[in-house]
Amino acid sequence: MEISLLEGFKLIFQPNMLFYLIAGTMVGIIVGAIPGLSASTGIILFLPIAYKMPAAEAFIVMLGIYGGSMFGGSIPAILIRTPGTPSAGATVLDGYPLVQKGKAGLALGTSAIASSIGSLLSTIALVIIAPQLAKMALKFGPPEFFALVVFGLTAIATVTGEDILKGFISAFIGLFLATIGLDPIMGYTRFSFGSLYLESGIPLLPVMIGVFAIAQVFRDLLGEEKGQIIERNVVRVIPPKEEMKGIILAALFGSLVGIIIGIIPGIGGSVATYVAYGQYKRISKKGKQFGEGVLEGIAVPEASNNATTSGALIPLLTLGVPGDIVTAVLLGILVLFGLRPGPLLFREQPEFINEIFASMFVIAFLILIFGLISAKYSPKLLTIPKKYLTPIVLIFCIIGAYSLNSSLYDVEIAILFGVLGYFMEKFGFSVTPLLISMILCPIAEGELGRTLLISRGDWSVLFTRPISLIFLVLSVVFVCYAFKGRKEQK
Amino acid sequence: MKKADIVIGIILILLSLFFLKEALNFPESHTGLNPGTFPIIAFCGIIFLSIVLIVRALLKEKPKVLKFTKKEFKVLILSIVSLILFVVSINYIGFLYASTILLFLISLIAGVKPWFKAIIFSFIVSFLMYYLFGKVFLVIFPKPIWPLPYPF
Repeated sequence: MEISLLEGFKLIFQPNMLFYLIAGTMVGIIVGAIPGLSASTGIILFLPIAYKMPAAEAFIVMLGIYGGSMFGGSIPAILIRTPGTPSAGATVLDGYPLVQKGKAGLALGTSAIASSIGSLLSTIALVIIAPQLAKMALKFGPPEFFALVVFGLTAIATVTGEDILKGFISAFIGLFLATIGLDPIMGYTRFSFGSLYLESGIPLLPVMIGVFAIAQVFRDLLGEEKGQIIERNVVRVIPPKEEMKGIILAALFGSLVGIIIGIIPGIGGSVATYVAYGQYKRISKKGKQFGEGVLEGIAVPEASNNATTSGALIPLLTLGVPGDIVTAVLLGILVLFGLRPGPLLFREQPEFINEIFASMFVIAFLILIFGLISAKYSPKLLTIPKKYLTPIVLIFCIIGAYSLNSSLYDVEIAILFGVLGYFMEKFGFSVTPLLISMILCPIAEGELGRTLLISRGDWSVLFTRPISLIFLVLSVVFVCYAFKGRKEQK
Repeated sequence: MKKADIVIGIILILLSLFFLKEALNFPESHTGLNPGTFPIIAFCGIIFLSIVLIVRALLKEKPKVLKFTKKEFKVLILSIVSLILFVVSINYIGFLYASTILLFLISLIAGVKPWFKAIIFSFIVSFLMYYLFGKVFLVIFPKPIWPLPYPF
């Protein structure tokens, strides 16, 4: 059998396979919507059942969970300012302001449409250009990775909030927090003060839960946001025609960034969303309104995080290299099932590859259908009086922080950063630059360290390799452009 | 905000100097990228920008007024104390009881009245959460070390 999408559809359009796909996507959306349960957790929780199933069926359920959770994470990010998964962090920025404007349904509908576009386009990339792109990504060495991350860090210049000075202080605090723990090259322990927990660094998801959700709980308890409009009955989930063009363009941009970042191993969805959001904010006509509640601000991160799913499958299937945590789990599962990911998989198991390709297309449509249905009904969550919803959100946050590693340390971190996040925003320090620094700086430090190890301390290698040079030049151009834009705005 | 910016700036500078002293003692690597390089960049950035923040606050004519009433302060302190109580007590009384107490206290702060309504609400929510995550999603929650009746 050859690699053929048609053959894949023939295999997929059988009642049992469709059932597995639907079940996987629905479970994925629910798992993603529960703060703290990420795609990888959902897949791991499914493992005991997967062992009892044939490899192809088990794998497509997992792909459904993977794709569904990327959309599902946007539901609490939009409704209660709690990213369900780390990849939905950037969705909070415009999602929550839209809820406050009474546009929860439209926000969720846009998220479903953009997620579906992201999934669809990245699947097309997976099917058509997989081998070529994987070959290109294989040429990326540490200098290129470092330059790419520097390019991602330039997003900070656009998300500093009203006060640019305080925004940059926040970013430097994030850089410091990211250096706590073991140094990636020498393995030297930094700022741990003898604590074993601090040696492994500050965990990211509890920090996100803290600064976004627990800080919001404090604001709710203090009654600081009384003007919230709750859209009790969602009348409209599909955006109006005049907005659709902008949303589709934003989703296309987000998808492109997501596909490229998804293919590059080790970066993942959360980085893709911030890079895509930051860059699109610069080029979009509505860029200045980003962060105040624009639908394009949801379309970009949601398309990009869903686009990373198929993107990450490209190096996994063609080279056996996992692109993120979830694909690392999937790699382990493929091996457990006796399959060898890599070029041989295409030759030895073409029907398996065909099934994966076809099921990714079906998942893209299922995300759209279930996404729009959930957009209609999930805002009803907000009709619960705030005095009851706030304690429930708090307990969700605590369980979310705890369940990732079954660790009370993570709960303590979430609470600590909740208090810190509350005070930071109270005193005008945006928390987003802190988070971007915390996500990207450890990668930058590791890649720069590897670059200098290979070049024996020669920094010029960053400027002599063409791809690395292009990314660094682009970074300088974008920072200048961002500052110029701010000046004009003033 | 004027006073606040000055105080925050001073605190940030002092903390950065404290950590900077430690970072300067980190070992050196032959590649030129030392374990201290990134932290030193961070502290120098914080110190420089904090000085700018203080100078700006001193020169600013119309500072933005920061409202923080006594009642708000009380609510914030009570919420933080409830959370600390939860973290401390969970090892002794287990997740179920600790979360019930936390939910009860937070719902009272959020304005659930009368108190017995808050108790019923806390019991229902914590039992549901415990069942959903503990039994369906198989999250292993801390159990009580004190001899307390535990349902599941």
